[in-house]
Amino acid sequence: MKKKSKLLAVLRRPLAFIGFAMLAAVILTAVFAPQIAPHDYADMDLTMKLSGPCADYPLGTDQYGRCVFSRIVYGSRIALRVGLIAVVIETVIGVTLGILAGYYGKTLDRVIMFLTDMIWSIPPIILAMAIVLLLGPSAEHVAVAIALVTWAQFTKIVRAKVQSIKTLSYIEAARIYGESDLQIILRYILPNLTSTIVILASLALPSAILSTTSMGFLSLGAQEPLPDWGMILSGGIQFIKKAYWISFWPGVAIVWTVLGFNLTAEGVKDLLDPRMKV
Amino acid sequence: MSEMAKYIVRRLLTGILVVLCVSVIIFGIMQAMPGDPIDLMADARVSQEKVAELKARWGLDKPPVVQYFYWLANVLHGDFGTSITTKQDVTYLIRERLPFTLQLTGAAILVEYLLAVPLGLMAAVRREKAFDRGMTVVMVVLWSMPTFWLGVLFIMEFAIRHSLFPISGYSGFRSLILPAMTLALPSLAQTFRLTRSEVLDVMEEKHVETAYAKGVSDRAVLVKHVLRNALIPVTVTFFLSLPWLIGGSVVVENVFAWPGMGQLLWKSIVKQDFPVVQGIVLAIAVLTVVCNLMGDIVSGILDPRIRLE
Amino acid sequence: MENILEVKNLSVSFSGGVQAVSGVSFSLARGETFALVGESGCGKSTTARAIMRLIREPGKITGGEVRFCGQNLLTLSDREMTAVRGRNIGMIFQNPLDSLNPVYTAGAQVAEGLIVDRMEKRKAWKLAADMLRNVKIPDADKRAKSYPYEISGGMRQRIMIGMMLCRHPKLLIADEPTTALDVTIQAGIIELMNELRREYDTAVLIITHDFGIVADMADRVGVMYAGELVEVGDVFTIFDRPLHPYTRLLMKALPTITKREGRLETIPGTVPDLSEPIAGCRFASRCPDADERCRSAAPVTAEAEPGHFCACHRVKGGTANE
Repeated sequence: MKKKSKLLAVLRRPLAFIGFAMLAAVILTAVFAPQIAPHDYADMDLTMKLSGPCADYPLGTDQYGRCVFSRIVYGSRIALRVGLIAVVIETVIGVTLGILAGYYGKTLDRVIMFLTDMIWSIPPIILAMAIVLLLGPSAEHVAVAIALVTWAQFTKIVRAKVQSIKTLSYIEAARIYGESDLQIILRYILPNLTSTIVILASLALPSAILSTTSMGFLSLGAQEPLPDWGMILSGGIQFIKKAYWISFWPGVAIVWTVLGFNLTAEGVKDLLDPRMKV
Repeated sequence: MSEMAKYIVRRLLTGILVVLCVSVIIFGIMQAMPGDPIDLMADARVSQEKVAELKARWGLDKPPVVQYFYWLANVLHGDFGTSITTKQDVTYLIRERLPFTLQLTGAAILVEYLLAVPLGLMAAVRREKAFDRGMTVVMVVLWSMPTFWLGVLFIMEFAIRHSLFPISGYSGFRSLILPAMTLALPSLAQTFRLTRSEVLDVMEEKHVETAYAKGVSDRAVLVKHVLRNALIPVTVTFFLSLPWLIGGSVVVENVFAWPGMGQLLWKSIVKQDFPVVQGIVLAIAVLTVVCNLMGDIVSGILDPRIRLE
Repeated sequence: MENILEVKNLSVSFSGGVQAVSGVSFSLARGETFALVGESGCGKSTTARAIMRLIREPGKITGGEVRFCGQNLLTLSDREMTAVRGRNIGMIFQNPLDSLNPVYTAGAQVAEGLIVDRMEKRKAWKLAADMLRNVKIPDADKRAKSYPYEISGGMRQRIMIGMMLCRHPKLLIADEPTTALDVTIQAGIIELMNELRREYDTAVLIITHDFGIVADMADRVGVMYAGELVEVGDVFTIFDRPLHPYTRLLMKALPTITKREGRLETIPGTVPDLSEPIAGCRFASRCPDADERCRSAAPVTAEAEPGHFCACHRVKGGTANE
């Protein structure tokens, strides 16, 4: 009852509500892409190269005569999928290392903290570029690369949280009763971390999407003819004087999606732990 | 001040260790790449002997560990090797490009902090009022913007429609403005939020009440007691964010064809030019460690409590 | 005797209509020490902050007057009030550990107030160091250059006292100045305050829940309950013949050296919810002597004997009618 009314209170906050609505629109677009898009994302019409918005091509066409609108609609699938994969991987890595460092302390803690220091001493996008190059450019590899350079933020916060949970008396009691470390972590520590992890993950999702589109922009993500938003945008820059729409609209789609996620994440944070510092 | 010296030395040693480890990682990644540049460049017409001779000349036939120490020894002498594609000295390439990148990131970080800190302070003082709420919305929108799109918007509006600035390339101060703004605005949001929340935290602290009780004026309390203390973490992130901006500049330099290190890095990655990539990434890692160290030193100067830890 | 502070009908409320302080009136003569006592949450600290106009949102002073040397502080502009703070009225706080700014040296923080008074910097520093000597800080010149984290809690409270007295204010407000300190250090602080208030001829408004401190310092006492001042009198009268049932219960709850046997008494019940309007006496729900009248009509403060005021239906004339 109480929880429900709290949820309603957050939804009543206009910003969180708007964010949620924006997000719902993106998800629906991704699910019903074939129904929404008037053309296939790879369909070329060489007679219609770089033509402006018209009834048949609502947002114009690119240099191959492909429908920009349809490409953006299908692109939502790539953006959401890549972002989600990245966040799942970084959450798993970051939380695991955070728990290990916080729970065991000592040498393990020092090693893990050194690892995070090291990760942080190369700007994430640069390290991600190097990793993608090692794995080869593709949407999935971008997701992995983004995850590999961003897990450290989870580790730091989860570690601090575990350190404070660890001192609680019922953890001490559980240890005296002879429960194993694994049992203690799974039964007592992990449940206490739930809201922290949810907040961190929901805040990480929009920045992961932003980073993956940057990789796409550097043509390291999904390859042609797949409609990666960042890649569509970068491909249009050389035609910006004649055909601004190729670069303009993918950007709108990115901002729309990322903003939707960000506003929703703020709502989630307000709901679960408004005082948490990220 | 000897406490301070010890503290700096400790941070310095950690920094050196981090750079060494980074160099191993970078070298490892480059080693793990499928094929080496000689294989990539050589086609069927080049004889096996020629290929082997080339590999020997570049040291690519030695085991990776040996290659690493060769490379490291050279790096310590300031020699990052020679670009495989252009045959130019990597140190020369970096030295040529670095000033442009520093100019861009330096301008961006100035814009960022000169806007974000006063705005964050104002929002905190007017907490929950219209200004604060409005700013919060503006910042979330900025934070959600990809730099490359913001760059495109700026080009469309200010370079093409109004012809106020050049579209791309480097041609003096005017050409710096659009790239710097593009780089600064999205990261403005973070600094704004940090400043706002730190100021709000400090305003809750008891010593602020003491200052009021002493009869210090509102403005002086805000500047000397609230902002002064809140700026400690903000200043530290100033130094920490410089490398992140360099990361962001890879994208921005490519939007504006800015002749900096980011563009060189991207081109070298696409061409698999190992020595250049290694050199640039290592240079950035060193820069990061130096910035972190500067952040540590400055926070030690600003916050007497830190020197004890 | 000339009153330097007169508080009349002071009321403070917080958001949600909580009446933290309602209709509090008392006065302080020059050089006098007045103690406000009561349980935590009774509004005594809020009263002190209201006098300094340091009530922060969502709190608000809703009525009354605070006359300092005849001038109503509540009608001053913010700028005029800033000039009164520190220079004419000093204030020290409960927790000396958080009351000093961690990034400035002790000397700088003492000197800051003097510099606000347009004193030249070097002179202010010298005076600050002198003041630290005056509050009996050993090695004062060195301590002046120390940061708060290098200084113990008791020493920090001494620094606070020095900081607030170095400008010779006519009134010093001390909000639970020893509560956060070890018992052994408390005595030293009390002794120091007693000494300095005589030396500087400063009136002191001390906020405390500790009758031991009241006995050590106060000339007169005001007892607060649930935002109201229920009894005021000089210290001997209050200890000797407390009139209000709450004061009497509070005294019984005191540990004394003479009272060996038995356990300390506690006052049953809890403080009423101040966000709801209360019809009768605010203490009625916990009062052992309460009757119908107490529950329906609020008592008015009356002078039971010269200088001894009490707000209780059952108190008339000089003694409680038991």
